[in-house]
Amino acid sequence: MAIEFSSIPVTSRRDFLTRTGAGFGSVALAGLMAQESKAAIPIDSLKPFAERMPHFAPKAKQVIFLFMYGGPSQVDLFDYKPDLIKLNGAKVPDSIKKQKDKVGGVFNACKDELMSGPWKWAQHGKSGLWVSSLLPETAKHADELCVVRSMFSESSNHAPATYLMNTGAILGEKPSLGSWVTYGLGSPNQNLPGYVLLFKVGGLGGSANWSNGFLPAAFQGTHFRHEGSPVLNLHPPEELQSVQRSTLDLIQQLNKRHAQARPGVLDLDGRIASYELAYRMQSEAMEIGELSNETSSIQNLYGIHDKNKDKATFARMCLTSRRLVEKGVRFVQLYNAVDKLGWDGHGNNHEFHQRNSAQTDGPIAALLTDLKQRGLLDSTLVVWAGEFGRTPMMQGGNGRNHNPYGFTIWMAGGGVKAGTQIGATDEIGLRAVDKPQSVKNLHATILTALGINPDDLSFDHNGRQERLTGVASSWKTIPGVLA
Amino acid sequence: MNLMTYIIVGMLVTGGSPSDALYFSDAVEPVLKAKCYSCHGKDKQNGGLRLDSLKAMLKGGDTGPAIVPGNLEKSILIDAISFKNPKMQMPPKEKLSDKDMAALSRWVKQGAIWPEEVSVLFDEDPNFLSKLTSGNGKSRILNEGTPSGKIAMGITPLQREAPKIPNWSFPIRENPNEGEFRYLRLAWKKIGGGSIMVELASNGSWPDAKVGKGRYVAGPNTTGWASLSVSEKAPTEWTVVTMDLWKDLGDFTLTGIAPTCDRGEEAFFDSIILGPSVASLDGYRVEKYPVALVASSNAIKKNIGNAFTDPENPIRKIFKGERLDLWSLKAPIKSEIPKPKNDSQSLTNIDRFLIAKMEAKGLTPSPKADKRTLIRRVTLGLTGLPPTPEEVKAFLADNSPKAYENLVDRLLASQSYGEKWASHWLDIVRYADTNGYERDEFKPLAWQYRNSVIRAFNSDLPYDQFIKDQLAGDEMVVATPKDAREADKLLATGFLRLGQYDSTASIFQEEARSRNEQMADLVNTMGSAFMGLSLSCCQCHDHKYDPFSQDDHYRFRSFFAAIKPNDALVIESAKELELINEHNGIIDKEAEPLKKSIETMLDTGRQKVIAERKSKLPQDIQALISLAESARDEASKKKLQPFIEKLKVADNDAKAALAEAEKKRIEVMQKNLAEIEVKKKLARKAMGVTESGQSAPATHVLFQGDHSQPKNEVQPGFLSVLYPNNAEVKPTSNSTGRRTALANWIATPDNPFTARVIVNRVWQHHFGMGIVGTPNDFGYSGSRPTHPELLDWLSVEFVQQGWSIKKLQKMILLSNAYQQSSFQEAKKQAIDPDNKLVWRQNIRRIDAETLRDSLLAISGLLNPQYSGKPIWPSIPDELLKAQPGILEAIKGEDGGRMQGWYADPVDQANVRSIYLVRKRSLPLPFLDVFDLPDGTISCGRRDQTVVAPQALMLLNSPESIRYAEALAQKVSKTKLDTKASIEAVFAMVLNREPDADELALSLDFIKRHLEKYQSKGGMKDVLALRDFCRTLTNLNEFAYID
Repeated sequence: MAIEFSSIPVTSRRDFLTRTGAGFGSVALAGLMAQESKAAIPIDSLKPFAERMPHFAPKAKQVIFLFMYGGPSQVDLFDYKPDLIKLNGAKVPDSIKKQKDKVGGVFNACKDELMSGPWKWAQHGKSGLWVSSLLPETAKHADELCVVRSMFSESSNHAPATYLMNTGAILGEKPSLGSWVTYGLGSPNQNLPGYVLLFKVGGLGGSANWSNGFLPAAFQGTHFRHEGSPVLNLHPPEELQSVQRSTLDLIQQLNKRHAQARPGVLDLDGRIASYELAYRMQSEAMEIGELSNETSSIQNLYGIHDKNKDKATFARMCLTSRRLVEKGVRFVQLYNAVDKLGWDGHGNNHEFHQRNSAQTDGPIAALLTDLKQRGLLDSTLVVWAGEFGRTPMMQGGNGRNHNPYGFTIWMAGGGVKAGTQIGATDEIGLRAVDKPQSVKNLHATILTALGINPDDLSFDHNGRQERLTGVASSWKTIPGVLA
Repeated sequence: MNLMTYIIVGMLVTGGSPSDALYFSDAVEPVLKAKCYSCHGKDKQNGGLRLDSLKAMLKGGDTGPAIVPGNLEKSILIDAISFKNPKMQMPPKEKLSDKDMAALSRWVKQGAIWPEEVSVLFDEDPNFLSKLTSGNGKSRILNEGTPSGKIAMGITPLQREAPKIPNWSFPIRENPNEGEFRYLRLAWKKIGGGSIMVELASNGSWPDAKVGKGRYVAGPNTTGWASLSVSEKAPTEWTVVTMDLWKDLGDFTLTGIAPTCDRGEEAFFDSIILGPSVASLDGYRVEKYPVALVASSNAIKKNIGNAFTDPENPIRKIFKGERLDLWSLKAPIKSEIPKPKNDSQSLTNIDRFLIAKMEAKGLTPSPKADKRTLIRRVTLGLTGLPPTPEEVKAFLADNSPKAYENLVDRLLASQSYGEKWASHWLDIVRYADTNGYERDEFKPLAWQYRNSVIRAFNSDLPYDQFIKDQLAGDEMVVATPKDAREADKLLATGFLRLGQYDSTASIFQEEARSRNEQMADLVNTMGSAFMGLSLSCCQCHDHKYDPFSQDDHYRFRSFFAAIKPNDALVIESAKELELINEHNGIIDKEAEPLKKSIETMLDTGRQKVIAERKSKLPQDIQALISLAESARDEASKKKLQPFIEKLKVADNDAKAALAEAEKKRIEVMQKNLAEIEVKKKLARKAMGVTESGQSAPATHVLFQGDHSQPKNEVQPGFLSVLYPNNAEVKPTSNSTGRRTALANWIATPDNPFTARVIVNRVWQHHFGMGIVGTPNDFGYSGSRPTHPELLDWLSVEFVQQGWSIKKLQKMILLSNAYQQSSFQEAKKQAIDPDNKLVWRQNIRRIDAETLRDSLLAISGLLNPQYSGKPIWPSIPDELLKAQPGILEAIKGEDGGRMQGWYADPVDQANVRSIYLVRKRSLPLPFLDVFDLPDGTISCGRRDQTVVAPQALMLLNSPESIRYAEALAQKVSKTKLDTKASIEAVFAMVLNREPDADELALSLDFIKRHLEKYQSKGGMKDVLALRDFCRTLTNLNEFAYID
């Protein structure tokens, strides 16, 4: 006997609020600050992903965030610096060396020697985007990209910088971008989690990178595996699969009797519904993982059978991300790393960049092509970013150190002005000097593209009105990104 | 009146204490000057070595650094002056006196503090007065009654001055480089009343008369020139004052000075010096001064009252007298107990408070829940474990009027009570066993803090004492702990170590950033945990809603400024240590013969290996080796070095070179030896904090919370709205005493927050909802209490009953309010749907640990005795490999930092969940999905979400199925028939019997599943029963408390 989902009464906002700690704050705050700000967003705990209206018409509805783990080198990929090529082997110019930075010591672990990469540079597309020979496939999409070359971070250390990129704070304790987005907007598909992660090796610093923080736990990122059963514990061990339905039926029968004796307790109905949803997730999530359902031309476009196993793995993630977006999952984040190193080429930058480019370039280009041919690119915001960039100075043999002072990211798709380049680093590609952009501004840009006013996406916790973008009006969208 | 930034003489800016600096100039420098500089100084550098600066000593000469601060063995200088090494004896002509040798040794051992160079503006130069070329007063040189040296100067009104003195160009900087300075020190004294002043010229100009930056005055300033006040009265005895010029005046270049005497008779000045640090000033003959004395700021400032009474209170000024009606600011008062019209349902005074309010809304309390519901509710609530069928039976059979009270008493006295209630506290202090961030290293001793909290709850440690231990336990224990209770005080300071810690920050020179975060986190957690204050808001600016200033955040931070992490706190008492040593001595003796035999045999093997390896070396090396060590020259020594390394033989290699029989003998002996040595006892160490002196680094308010933008300095202080003055701090023998002052201010009945906050927490856990709905926020943006009088009455009562949490709980548990049914009567529900008036109990989901522990308990798997180090349950390999920090450890590349996952065998993991490891970067999936907090930020109230992944976990995970299997095995062992088995599972899982319908459904279920398992033969019964157990453990009734 299956329980009709529609028979479950929709809970009231108030009931939800009595059940989540922060909710109380929301009620109180609504009265206290009626003039000052909008109250926290009411969440129906039985349908946490129920779609919620954005604040204004969105340019993009869904997000695929390609996290380039370890810190890709801007001066080897997108930030063309003829001076750096000229100065190869020279000392860092005094004018650059004497400047003081807020955190860290960028010159400390590097040699006083500039190093240009061995790759060739060329301009691509009508927009004339400079891309190095490391990314030939991405380069073909030059006119679809909006490249920001003047990002800066607030730590030169992996975990804090990764936390910052994912949660807006260098302490790993705040909700992640995907949690905020699904908290704000819900997700079009109620049978799948609204915020999905794909990785072989997740971000440095672990689960705090996809944590819901103080937001309700439903908004925590769910890790989808790119091989085998997509979600852990999606199915019981095989010997129990044939008794799954009959087990669930008795559970629900007894639960229903229990709930009938306790009229009005919506939690109990909610838990009954969650068991049904779990059952439906089993088939829907399974279907997502069936990449063999794709045509062979699509499989080959991504390269899921590529001889380069790491490329094939990332290709599976990229293809899975498209399938998730197609099914209406709101926010998908991919990590490209196949080991704990990613782009982090301290001693051997050349090899690391060769390897990571070979692994990601084709699948990412395929993702853009595929989204476009399905008409999904217009409503999907694709973000490509690492936690920071790398130094133009040499470290070790031919390595580069972390560089939070200037690095490149790109965006494409929904709401983004295609074929544009924004901001610049200094002549050697070290520090952002023209239109420097904080990670907070990037977050504000992403939220705005999704139709969210960053100041109104708030949650009250431990007596503080929390936002992804911090203090109200302390952000600006990156100028020139949004169409 | 502006207050200058003065520094109490002796406060540290750079390393070392004044006595260290003094020791250098008094005992060390003269020796170096007299005996060393002639060959190792400016003019001559024998052996490439200079000894006339610390830098030069550390750089060393041809044979390496001259000294290694703190390490006598590695300091060549010490070796040389000892004359022990025939090849290097210094000074070559004559050995130093024993006293001088001891002085140099002591200096190196204590860290080789070498105060930086100071610049003397005036001390012994009688011609100095001629440089003061104008001013309308007189000056003279004094030859007696000087505080130091031979002369001092006297000035009669008004002053002598020179804004540009030849050769005076002293850059004042925050971080002075060589030749730059920051601090000014002078000695002064005034006779005949009036005031004394010094004016400093910047770039040839005197300070603006209206701004007064650059003038320091002691005594009443009647000059009409604005100035910074050092003290209210001019000193009538010689007094040393030290000014932080950079802080008061910023970057400038000092070019002139005007010693000034305003009214009265004569002003005296002496020893005017500039230094880059306070320590450098301390190195300058300070010992010859009389008592160095500077007024403390408390003496200058008059005491200011709280914001309610004193218009001078800074909070009153900042917020223009608003925000003072915050309910929680006023101390709780015990109000009269209300008299409800119908008192028949009141069991305790708590009920009277509640019913009186209900009556006003036409509500009445619910009747008592049935006894089965009650025993389940109170047992789960107090112990985190369900009652056993036998306990239920006994309680149902007990008809005495005290049956319930006896039950409560039994539960409060159980070990599992502490295990449950400690977990609530661990949420509040964001407990975890690892550091967090990239490496997320395991903290192997954190668990002892966890156990000290369990002990505190079980022994009902008075809560005020509990607070004091958490904040300042170390300051209350003299030397080693006297007993287990004192050891727990030290363990409690683990509270100060629980935050996240980024161990990689130093690699990128981000220690300052990281420390700022840690300190902010500590202050925020302290505020939330003990007082429900949201201090995180005022890290960057004055609080947006509450009457707290940004200064307040940093005043609180200043209490923690001197703490140092300590991972080796000795928690054994001296007596215990002695016993341990005695015991280990006996073991050592027992092991000695074996050790000797093993060593002898190994040595045989070793010689064999050496001979063999030697024979393979080049001929010339072999020849060198055969030379006596003293006969080798430097070059050959160097040449030999790598080969000597090769000839060091590891024990295993030595063993391998022996004959088989001998190898076996050694192995047997080694095994025997290990068996003996395992009997040795280790002294327990703990993770906590210590301080190492009475001084603390300065704490500055940070502009927008940014560590790189310090503003004004603050002293330890509490909430300014209540007490704006600096805290009164009494240093102990080896600590600042700051945290004791803080603890004493928090743990007192006068603090309006402390008792209320804990009473509210306890109430919340018994009702699922607090009297104040926001347990960590008692400010404006938090909820108002639904029953303020009750909260206050309970808070005062709690304090009067000795801050006893158990007594408070008993009071609550014996009330009708706690015992009433949770049934949601529709009529009442319509009046008060959120149950704010507590007319019923609340149905609640059990928390993550209670769920897992209950499953373990009913399946018979639980090991209830375990209470040790964290247990690491097995979790899927792919989760481990997806975490970069763990991956590094799996590959053996974490350098022993314990970044990995150290899974214990499955059967050892059946312990209560509080004993499972809490790894920040990888929470345990089973607990995580049921809303276990992530251990990063204080959690006063857990989410109770209901999401599909929970259903998947409880239905499908191997862990859940293991519990169902074990329960089925347990029941099937009793060889009951199907019906009785069903009844037994009901009794264990749901603490009741099935009704007829449920029994029929269950029998049918088992029948159908038996058919499915026909092929499994004798296994089919237990498999079908397993499926039934799986069903019952997934029920709402199991997961919810009525």
